[in-house]
Amino acid sequence: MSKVLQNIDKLVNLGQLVEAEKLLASSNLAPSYRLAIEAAIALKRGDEQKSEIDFLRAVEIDPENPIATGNLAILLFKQKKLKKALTYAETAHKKAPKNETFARIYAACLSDCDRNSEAVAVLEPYTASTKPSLEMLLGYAATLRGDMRAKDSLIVLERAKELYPENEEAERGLADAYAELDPKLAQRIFQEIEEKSPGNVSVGWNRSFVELRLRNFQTGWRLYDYGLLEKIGKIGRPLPPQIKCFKLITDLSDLNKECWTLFSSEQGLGDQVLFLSVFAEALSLYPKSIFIGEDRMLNLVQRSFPSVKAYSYAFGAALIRQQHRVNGVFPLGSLMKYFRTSEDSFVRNKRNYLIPDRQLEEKFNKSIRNHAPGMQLIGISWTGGFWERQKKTKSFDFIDFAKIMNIENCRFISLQYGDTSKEREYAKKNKLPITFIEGIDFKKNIDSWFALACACDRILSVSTALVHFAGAAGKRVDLLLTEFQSPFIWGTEEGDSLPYSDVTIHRKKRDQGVEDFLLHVRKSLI
Amino acid sequence: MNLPNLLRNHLPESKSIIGDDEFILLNRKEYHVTQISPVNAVLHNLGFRVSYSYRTLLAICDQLSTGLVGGDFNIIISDPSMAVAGFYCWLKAGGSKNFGRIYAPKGVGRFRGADSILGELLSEFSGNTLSKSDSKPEEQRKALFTIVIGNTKQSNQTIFAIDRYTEIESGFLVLKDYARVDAFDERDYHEQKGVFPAITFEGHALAVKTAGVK
Repeated sequence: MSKVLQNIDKLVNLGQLVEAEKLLASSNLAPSYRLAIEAAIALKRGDEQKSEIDFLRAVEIDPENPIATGNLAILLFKQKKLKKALTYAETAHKKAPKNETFARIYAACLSDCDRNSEAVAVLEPYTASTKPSLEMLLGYAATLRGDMRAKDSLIVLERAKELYPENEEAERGLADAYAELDPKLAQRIFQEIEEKSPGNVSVGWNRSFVELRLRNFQTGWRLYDYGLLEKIGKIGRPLPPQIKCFKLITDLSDLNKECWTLFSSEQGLGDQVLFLSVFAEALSLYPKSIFIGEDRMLNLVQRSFPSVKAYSYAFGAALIRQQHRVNGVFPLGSLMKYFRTSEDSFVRNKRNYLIPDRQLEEKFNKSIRNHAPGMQLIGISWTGGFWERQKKTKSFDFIDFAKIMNIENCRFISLQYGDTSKEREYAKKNKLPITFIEGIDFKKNIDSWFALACACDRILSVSTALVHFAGAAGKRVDLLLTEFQSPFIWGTEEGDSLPYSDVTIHRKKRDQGVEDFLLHVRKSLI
Repeated sequence: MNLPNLLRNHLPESKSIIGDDEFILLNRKEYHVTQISPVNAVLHNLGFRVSYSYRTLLAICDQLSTGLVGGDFNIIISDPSMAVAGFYCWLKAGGSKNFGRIYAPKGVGRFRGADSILGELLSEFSGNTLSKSDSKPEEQRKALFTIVIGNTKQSNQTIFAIDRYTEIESGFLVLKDYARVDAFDERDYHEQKGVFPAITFEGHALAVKTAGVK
């Protein structure tokens, strides 16, 4: 770095931005460095937009510019634009391999792009010293977890706890990691943390899943409400911005029966359906209510709960100046703590509460059975999850699924959402007894997708929204879980599911091969 | 097939188009017929089908009305075709049994029966609507914030809305179907009355009046 550059850098770091600008104006730095310094000054002034543009222009001129690449990587990382940050993080890391920050950002970007093993390789050398930084150890443990190496991740976290015994983050990381492998141990660690620092909402939120998985519903649902707090943010239970103008209510005693209550759906489709299981009970107590949810769910909710009117989230925004007639927004998930406080309460209240469009169901029934007369129709779904890691932990390869399709007198119906072109091709080539329905977007057209599922005789699916929909309609469902973590509602055991009347859980054992597991499931289909 | 659809087939994939029978807009995102639009949600639940330009007018009403925080107000509707806009303004301005009186000398037509909270709102809106031919804000309500909603398909509609607007002390004016090529003298009448509305691309005229400011 030239002397001028060093001086400017020093001034920028000291916050003497006007002086830095003067020195920059009088210098004859190369254009890419000039832009990078201008971007750094803009960043110091809090103008992230100008900063990003100038850094990008600097990199365009000189892709190796260390000031621009490093700062751009940090900026984009902070903005959670990890995929965009990847190239710059890689350059910054290679230019300054001793810089731990660049290494951690580069690894995080790789993980975000589902390149977990590369992320592990990037961070591994930094953990070789006798006392690596806590951030490095936690980052390394996270990448190992992302690479499905839960046990190795635990070893790193145990080391972090040993090296930094007073630090709560290491202990929390450990509890989170054990949540997958040993929920009871995780519960104990969470309890210890809770005792040391009571009321920590981040800990409480993570602990809620362990408690719910272990069927400790009273504690679990109470802590689950932490997910609504601002501090937990997007990984919690964020409500759509259109209804944030209303008072958030999670306590039934805060409801005035003379005013309208906006019961809001939340999170993914599976959660939405699960929480609808208690809606009828709430409506019987508070009939002056409306349902607020996603457009694609409204017809179904209206049909299934005719006593309440279903509106879209945007309709909530139209009521912004009607607060005088509205209690506020009550997220449906927060009803669970009132109506599902024990295993027994789940069992007692099992009922079919989602009603498909019967005409559509009949239409599908006729058309499919025309092509497969007298056959048992099995709807299947082999992949699920929103995040890459979820997809990995939930899914089975279609090719493995194909191996159990040779059941006499059975026709499989694909209920898989998303791009299934490869699977279609494979099925065609191998003459598999499976039908793919054309022209319906299963993600958008929930009514058709649900009616098609209901037209099947039974469902065979990994843990995805389909299981909740079919389960809530009383369909016979065989749920396939991998050896990795599954949603808390499926607990830790096999057999009958807790919330739905006819959903059977099949759980692959850690030492069991996929083929062996699927063949075992196949027996139950015959 | 309407003009936007005809054009759509001739545009490169990277270009977007929105519009209706009257206007075309290239390379702008579509926000009005989506699930994030409160206007869209209300129209859907009311069972109303309106033109794209009417939607954009309602979106403007949405924000102008929401700005009126608390307190009583008046709405003057010049034509039954603007009843939806009247209801929407009343809703977003915080209309209730006690707040927000509607003056509609030519009536508001019939809303499709609605239940639940929307039914309650429509019932209160109707209860607050005065639709006799000489309906206009009473003396004691003249000082209240007043929203004038008009159509300009005929010159008498334009004149009616402008006259009502000139009588109010504070409020805003929204006119639909303004700046049609065959509306020869609308601007002259406005200027004569000292009203200089902003005209949008879709043909909406907007004017705002604040109490105490001449």
